[in-house]
Amino acid sequence: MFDAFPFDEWGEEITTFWTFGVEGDTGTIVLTILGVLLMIGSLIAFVRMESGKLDRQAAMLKQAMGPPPPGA
Amino acid sequence: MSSSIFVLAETVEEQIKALQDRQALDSQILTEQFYFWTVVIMWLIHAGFMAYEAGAARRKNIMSTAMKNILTIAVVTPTFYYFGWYIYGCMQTGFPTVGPDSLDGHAGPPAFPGFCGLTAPWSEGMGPNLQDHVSLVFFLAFLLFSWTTASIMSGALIERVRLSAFLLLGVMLGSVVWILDAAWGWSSGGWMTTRFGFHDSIASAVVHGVAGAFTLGVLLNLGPRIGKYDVMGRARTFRAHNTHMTLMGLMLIFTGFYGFYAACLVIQSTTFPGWLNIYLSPTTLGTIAMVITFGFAGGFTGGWFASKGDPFWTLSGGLAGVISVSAGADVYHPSLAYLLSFTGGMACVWVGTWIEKTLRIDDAVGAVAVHGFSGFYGIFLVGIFAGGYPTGINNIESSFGGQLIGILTFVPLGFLSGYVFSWILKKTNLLRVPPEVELEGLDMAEFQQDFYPEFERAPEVIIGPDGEELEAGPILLDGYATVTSGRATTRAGS
Repeated sequence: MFDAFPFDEWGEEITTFWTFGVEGDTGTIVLTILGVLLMIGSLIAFVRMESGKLDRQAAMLKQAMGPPPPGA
Repeated sequence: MSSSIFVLAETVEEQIKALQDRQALDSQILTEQFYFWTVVIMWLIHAGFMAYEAGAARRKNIMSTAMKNILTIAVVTPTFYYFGWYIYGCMQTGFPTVGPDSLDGHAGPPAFPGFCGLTAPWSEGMGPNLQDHVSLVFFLAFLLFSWTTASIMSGALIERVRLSAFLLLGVMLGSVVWILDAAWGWSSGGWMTTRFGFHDSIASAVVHGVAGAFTLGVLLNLGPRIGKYDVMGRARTFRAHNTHMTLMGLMLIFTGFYGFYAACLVIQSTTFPGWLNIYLSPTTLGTIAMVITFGFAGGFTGGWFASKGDPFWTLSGGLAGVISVSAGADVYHPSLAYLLSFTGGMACVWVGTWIEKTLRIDDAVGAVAVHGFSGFYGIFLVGIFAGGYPTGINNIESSFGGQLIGILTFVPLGFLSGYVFSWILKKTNLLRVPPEVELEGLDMAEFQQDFYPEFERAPEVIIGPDGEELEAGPILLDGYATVTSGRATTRAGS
């Protein structure tokens, strides 16, 4: 199966596209856009994930004991 | 005969040219190595901030405190890469403009005409480039400064801020606010320097002062920790879970500061005649190293006496002392640094106490006093003690007026941006953890575990306003009832 994949044929083109080439070429722009998307997505995810954790813990604490005993 | 002399001359000329090319390359690689090692040393600042703040936290909040420092790296690094560095490169003379007077559509610095274009993430300066040995390491040095601004804010907010809120605030401070002020007042082309001779060579105000002002704005919206103030508004003290860890963290920060100081200089022997400060005015590495060392000596002394021997404030005094003399570190005599840092170390203790007890603002580690006050005090001192020193490529003399413009620009820039952004987070209920979680401790909610499982829990103790040790439970429950009932019992609005 691996032999069937045209590594030699594609390798140079893939490398040219994904590694740093001349300023502003297509590969660089695509990588920049993907990086920005990951950056924005992770910031949103940080907020949503933590909100979920805090809301669940606060609800559990309220339900279980009213005001919880202070941590030591 | 004459033809052989001609051939010899050609050969010598070629050899000289080859030597010059090699010298230029060696010089660039030395510059690259220099900034690389400053970056390595500056990591200690962040290891130090983590230990410092985690040690100052109560046992129930250790990991949530430490994770703020670690995840600062996760969010400030990409944001600074994708837009923060561009702000520095392209906004030194103001905001970007489009028109015949602009430089390729940007407000680029006149000292480095192509610098703006090299700061975009898709540019040839921001990726692998065999012809450019400087851009990436220079970026990395500034990135470490950016982490530092977020870490300065971090400690002040511990034990009640949401981790994600801190990260968003860190992005705003580390990748927008501080780097904008650095573009204006901490660059060779910044309008404050080229027009007014503003002088802040090792970033007293542009890093520390602005981060402190930003933090103050955030603290006003965040409010104090539950139980921090009694019904009379008197401050209680939460006992740090590990003061030794805090002091060790501060010592790591101090070590990293030598890298920070060195990274604030410019060296490129084939382009410039020797060591230069960030404004491209001459200085030496030894000069700033002496100032930082005497700054610690004076600051520790001042902090010790002003706090009557309190360990935390003694070390904080050392930090404040250094920050107080950083702005003029390229020109100060060591004795002057010693004297001024002594006053800075003392003043930070008084200001920190005033903020806590009179203003009733709960700054858990005294960051507003140590960094904010000392940072602006530092540029104020330059106006007095280094007035007349020619600064920058235009050789504009430093002056008290120029330094005042710096204060009047940076205090509102830092404070208002911190206040407005944290106010938005507060209104969207994203700034502070629920009071139940704060009472129980953030580590259980965030990580579902105690981080010293093998050690038995000792009852939590709070130091009362008169110095007496009190059982924490009833005080915290009373504070919780106050918060959840909406019944205000203190002016601090807890």
